[in-house]
Amino acid sequence: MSTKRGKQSKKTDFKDKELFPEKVALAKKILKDIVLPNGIKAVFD
Amino acid sequence: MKNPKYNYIEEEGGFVYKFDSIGNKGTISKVVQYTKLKEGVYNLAFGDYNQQYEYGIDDKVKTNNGDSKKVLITVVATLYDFTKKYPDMYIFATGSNDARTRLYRMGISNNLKELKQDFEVYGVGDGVTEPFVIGKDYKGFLVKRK
Repeated sequence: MSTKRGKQSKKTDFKDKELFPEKVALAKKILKDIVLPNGIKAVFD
Repeated sequence: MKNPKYNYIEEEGGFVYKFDSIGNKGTISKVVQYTKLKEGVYNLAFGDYNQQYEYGIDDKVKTNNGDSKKVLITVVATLYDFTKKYPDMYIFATGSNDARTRLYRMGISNNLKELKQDFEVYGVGDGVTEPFVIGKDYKGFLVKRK
């Protein structure tokens, strides 16, 4: 069984960096103007 | 989740998780990141951590490390962890290409019963979001913790 070591968070060079900018752009493109299940329209800046 | 998964490390802030895939090509570091798209909506993305790349990430590489199921289960484990902390968030995921998106769709389909115990699961198509239907093509997927 796996053991989560999540609380051993460490200093990282990832903090505040967008690691997957293309995926994020693709996500915004797919979700653009879509009404989410909670009734809110997905509008992005 | 009873299926084997890799141990993962949660980075500062809880938006990035790291783990090592161990397979027939050796040990390959993986990174999962949850990125805020807008208030209440986050994107899930993951890929190989390779210091040769800018920001160290390559989400298009086909690793072929022989452990794709275990890797996906580990990614889902991070989803459980993330949505436990942020239960009101919608999490969106899609593949970097159609084949990957189909792979994720198959993974969801094969585990839909278990997933639906803990998540609302939606498929995202052309301009619509609907409860996930097995066998239907989608451009991406949305989940929200129940």
